[in-house]
Amino acid sequence: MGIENSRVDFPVLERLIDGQSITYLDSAATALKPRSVIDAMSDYYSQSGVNIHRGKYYLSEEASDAYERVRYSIAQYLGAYGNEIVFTKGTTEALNLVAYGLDLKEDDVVVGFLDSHHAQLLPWRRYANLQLVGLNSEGGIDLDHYRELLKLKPKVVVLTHCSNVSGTIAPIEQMAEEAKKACDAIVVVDAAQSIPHPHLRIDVSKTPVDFVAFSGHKMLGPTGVGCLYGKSAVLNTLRPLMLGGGMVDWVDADGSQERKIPHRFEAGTPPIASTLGLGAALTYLKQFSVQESLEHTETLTKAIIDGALKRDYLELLGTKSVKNRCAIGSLRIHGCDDLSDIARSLSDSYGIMCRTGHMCAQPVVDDQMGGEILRISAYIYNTTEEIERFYLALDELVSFLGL
Amino acid sequence: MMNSNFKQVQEEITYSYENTVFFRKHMEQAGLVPEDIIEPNDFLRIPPTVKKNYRQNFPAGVIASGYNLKSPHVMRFQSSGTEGDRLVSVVLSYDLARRQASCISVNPKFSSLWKPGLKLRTCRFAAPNCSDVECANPNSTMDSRMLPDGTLVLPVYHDLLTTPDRMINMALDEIEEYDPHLLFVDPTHFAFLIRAMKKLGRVPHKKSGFCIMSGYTLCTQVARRQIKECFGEEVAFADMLGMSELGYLGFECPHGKQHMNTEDYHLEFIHNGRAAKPGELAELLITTLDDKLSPHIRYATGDMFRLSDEPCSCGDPTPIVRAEGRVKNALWRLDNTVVTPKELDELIGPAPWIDMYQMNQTDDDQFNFQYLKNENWTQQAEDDLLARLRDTLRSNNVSCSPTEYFPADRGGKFISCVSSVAMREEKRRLLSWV
Repeated sequence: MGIENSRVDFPVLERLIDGQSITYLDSAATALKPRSVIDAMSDYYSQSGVNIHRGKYYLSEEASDAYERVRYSIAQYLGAYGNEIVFTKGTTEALNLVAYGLDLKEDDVVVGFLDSHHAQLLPWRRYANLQLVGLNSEGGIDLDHYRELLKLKPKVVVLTHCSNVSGTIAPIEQMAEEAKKACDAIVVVDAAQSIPHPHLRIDVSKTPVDFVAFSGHKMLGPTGVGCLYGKSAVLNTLRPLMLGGGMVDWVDADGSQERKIPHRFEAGTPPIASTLGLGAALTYLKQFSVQESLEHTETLTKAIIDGALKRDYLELLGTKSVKNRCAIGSLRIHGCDDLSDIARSLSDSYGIMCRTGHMCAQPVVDDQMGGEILRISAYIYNTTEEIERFYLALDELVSFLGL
Repeated sequence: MMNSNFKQVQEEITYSYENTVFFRKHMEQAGLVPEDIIEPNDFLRIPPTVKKNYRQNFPAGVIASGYNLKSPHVMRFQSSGTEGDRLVSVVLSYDLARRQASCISVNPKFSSLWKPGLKLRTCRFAAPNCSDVECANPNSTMDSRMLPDGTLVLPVYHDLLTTPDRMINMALDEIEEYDPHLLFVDPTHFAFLIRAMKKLGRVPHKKSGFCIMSGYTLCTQVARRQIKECFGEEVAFADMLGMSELGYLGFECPHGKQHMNTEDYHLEFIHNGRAAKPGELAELLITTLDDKLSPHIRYATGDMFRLSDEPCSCGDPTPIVRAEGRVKNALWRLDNTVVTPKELDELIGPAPWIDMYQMNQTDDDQFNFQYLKNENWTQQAEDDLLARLRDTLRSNNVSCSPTEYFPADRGGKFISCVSSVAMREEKRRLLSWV
């Protein structure tokens, strides 16, 4: 089965609201879930539902096996080793874990990017001296500025593989190599928006990155689970953010001995059903080839760019090329400061689900668009017809709202 | 039937019926009593027993009356199995030793292990769940990993390829310090240790004066090649066949053939519910002989064999077999025929360019072969292997690619050939009682 036929796997798309089918264009916020993911979670609760690790009974060992198999499959997908995969609540927790655990000093320089998500900005600003790389005149990453900032010999470089507002794909391989060459900086990648796409898979055995963070829910998996890949040598030096059960080998009245990686970062009972759902999501995604993932993304991206450029009442954030871009369109409507009516009407009158606001990336949104935006983001189950339908609906609304 | 002394079999059936709750019920459910088993053909009326029976009935139903876990000479073994197929079993230490001696006697190169008065020192390097000690804990000590029989369990991680250098150095240091007569190893694990040793710039502790025995998982030719290359011809190396529930079943002779133990077991090779002809793919069923603690009757192993009717060139008269691998690891072609893990391994051969491999059948007619490559790799070698795999599997849906990491299963074992198709009930039933 190819991407073009994948729609049938998503039960929510069969739903009618007020007799109207759903056009879901908010996948950058979270992806819809295929039936296999829902089944994996449901099976766990209906057939087991028990806790993992340390239980000697059959159900517990069975659940533990299934849980650890997800870790291994993620490791293999990334070209990592099993002990380099830490399960977290999501990208945000993973990035906070690294920012906290590296024991940074206030004056340690961290180089980040203006178009990053707040999760890749705020933790670093709390623990170190964060310097931001700006955008170039085309709305892409200003690599000259990046190289300038590398001269500050940053201790950490925090990259965003794909921006959640512009859809721009950063050349992380090249940037990571430059960071290593300039000052052997620790390279931390936010891959939340790129990991859902097989053609953007990061092979950590070939790319000089130290940490990669991503969420399950943006890659067709459930909410509540994500991953941190950490190169074992660096991961071993990281200070755990959370302490408690499951992350220690030994505890006595005076002290404790932490477990080996990755378990020392996984205190407490994890979201077991979600993790099994994430495993099913990865299995589902792996059926699509790199080529079809790339082609489908480029087709959707072209529809987003073309639709925006055709309308003089719209401004599109970021580069206008389909290359190195995901199907994300952040739009400003000239003369419209409050987009909430537009979003509500798109939903209720046309069944089109999209998002308004700063997208947790306020610095770049304010810098480039001067305020809130309307964002559409498309994924494997979307078609160009849906994007065209969005623009036609927008034309109608803009006209009737007197903008 | 591989044991001519049918009287011993009858005695085992009677003993088991009279002394174990499970087997009495098993016979009753089949409408049988021991007196019904008069001649060898009657024996086939007893439904095979399977691992699940022993798991469900341990300890009360399968330990013979008069014994318990604390009885003298009782040894307890735990098998993690795979896919939840775990088992705890018990064997009397002298039965275990006798079965071991019967098996190893086919290979004179191992006779040094039986010198009178020798206090055998064994080092074990295998998956952590193959012992009851905490060998995967990096903080464990030699003392904490020493078993009562003088076996030192070496440290290793559950996920083999992530074993850190510190634990590799520990394992190598401990081999040097303990100076074992016997290294009892999982071949894939040991080949990994050898590669890691070389990477750390270390050399073998010695190249003569001890033996290496492989077990636990299929001894791939790739692993065998690495072990032989490292230790040379002066160190005896042989593969043993065994099960955690029973101990030794067979052993490799100096001519490289697997001989089966017919002294301590009554063996059946069953194909389509009947005794297999020589060369036919068959499941092994085992009946213990004179096992007073936990007798097994027609125990279906889930292991595939091909029995040979040829005498072995080594001169030993015990029957020779080819161990084909687990039923649940067979590769299923679209035409409903199978390629066994052993046949796959024969196809790959010693492959000097491969350090480790895994074939994974993910669905009908979907095969994914991955391998760890080394400096001898050439594109031509890979292309040739891929062509052979496609030819043998009669499929174009075979991928072949290098990787840098293979996860072990949760018990720590690494299985070189896995198949989700073979796990299906309807496929398993075609090959096995299990």
